[in-house]
Amino acid sequence: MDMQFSEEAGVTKVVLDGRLDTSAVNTVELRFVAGIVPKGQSTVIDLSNVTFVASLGIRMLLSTARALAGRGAKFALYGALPAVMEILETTALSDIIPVLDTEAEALAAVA
Amino acid sequence: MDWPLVVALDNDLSAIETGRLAVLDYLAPFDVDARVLGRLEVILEEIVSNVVRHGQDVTAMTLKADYRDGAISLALEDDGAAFDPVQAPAPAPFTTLADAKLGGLGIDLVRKLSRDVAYERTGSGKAARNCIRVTLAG
Repeated sequence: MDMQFSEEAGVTKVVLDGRLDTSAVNTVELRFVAGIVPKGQSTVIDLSNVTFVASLGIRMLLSTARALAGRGAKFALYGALPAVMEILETTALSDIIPVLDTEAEALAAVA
Repeated sequence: MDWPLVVALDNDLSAIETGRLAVLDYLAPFDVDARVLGRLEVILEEIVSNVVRHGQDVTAMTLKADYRDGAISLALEDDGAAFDPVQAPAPAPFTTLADAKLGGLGIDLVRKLSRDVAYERTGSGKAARNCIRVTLAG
């Protein structure tokens, strides 16, 4: 899984690319959390190139969102493909973390 | 039951990819809906990774698959100590970020994405096996 960090007007943006499976989480979780949480600023995650997510990926997203919330910052996801969206909805992650269609909507959600 | 696909897996994370590719290859001629294959991949990932992460005493793992009458059946056997993941209670529904529990998400996903999931302890002594069997609509 590839990961790219950038900044958009005080918001951390992370583009994930590939399969967010057990092996990928083991490899990227530390860098994902380290690239987001210490900044303590609101964050949007581009899922449009994520083709698969399983429970460890859900846990990584949830624990990062929670750590950010503890620092008063918001977290939103956007661009999920149908197969990934089904897992976000089945686990009910989408009940507690905003999942939007577009980057603009995600940026508005964390503003 | 004779399983058309039987694959021996190592007890490490490579088992997930080995199992995934073997099952997708087996199912390729059946024109299974992409959405169903997506669910199947998640189920496979969860049941195999559950053994790899928690079954430190497991020395042999076998994945089986069968497609018939519009349904896909998967079975995963291991020779570890008796452990029934299906008995785990469903995690409490998420209400807030602060309250959401991080554990138990995997087996809950398997339950919700499948038509049926069952655990059985078979054999005895050195032949004892954990067997988790999952069926989903094809």
